[in-house]
Amino acid sequence: MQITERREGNILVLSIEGKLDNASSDQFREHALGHIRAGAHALIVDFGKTTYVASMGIRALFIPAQELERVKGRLVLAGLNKEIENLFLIGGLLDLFEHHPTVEAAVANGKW
Amino acid sequence: MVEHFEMPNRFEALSPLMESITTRLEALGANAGAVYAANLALEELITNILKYGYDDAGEHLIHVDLAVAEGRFTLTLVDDGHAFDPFAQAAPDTSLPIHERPIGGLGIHFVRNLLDECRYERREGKNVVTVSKVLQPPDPQ
Repeated sequence: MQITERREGNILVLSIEGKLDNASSDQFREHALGHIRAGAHALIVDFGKTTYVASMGIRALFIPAQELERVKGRLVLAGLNKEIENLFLIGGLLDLFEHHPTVEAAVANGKW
Repeated sequence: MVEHFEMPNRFEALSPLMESITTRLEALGANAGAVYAANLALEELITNILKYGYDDAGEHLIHVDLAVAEGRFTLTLVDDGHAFDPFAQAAPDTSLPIHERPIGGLGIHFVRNLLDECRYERREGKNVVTVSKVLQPPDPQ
């Protein structure tokens, strides 16, 4: 897994390249939490280049999402491929995370 | 056709095993959905074995057989850890909000839903878990 970052105005985009597997999930969670503690309150997690997500990878989104909720911020997902989107659906999580097909759509249409 | 793979009970051995099996499945005509399901089953089931299967610090081998027949792949995982049926736990309540979700159970819930067949037996002091799926499943809706 490789995480790349960019800013779209005051929105922070974290792109996950490769696999968000059980081994890399802690690293992603801490990376996201570090930004949130430093003041990032609008976060897009971009799965456009993510090839694979396992259960702990999905769980790694929970604490950052709760933390953002607490500070009235927002975590939005973008670019889920059909296999990854299906996991969110099976887990009953698709309705709990706002998601958009692309980062551009998330920036433009997100409920910021 | 049956091919045998094995790994020691160390986390760093899991990724290479998944890559070897992915390579074989792709060569045998598995599509992206089948490869994803196989990887998820291997990762979730073996992570459980590595975390909870053993009391001692010794090395144990986890065996995986990959069989392909009649357009379907079957993975059989054999370990000599504690008797544990991963499919005996109740499915998690997926209607709960995030902060009320229990820690465990999501991985096995994914395996049960993505794979067509999930079986467990305790055989000769070993856990034997079998999962299977067609090589060319249709895309999820």
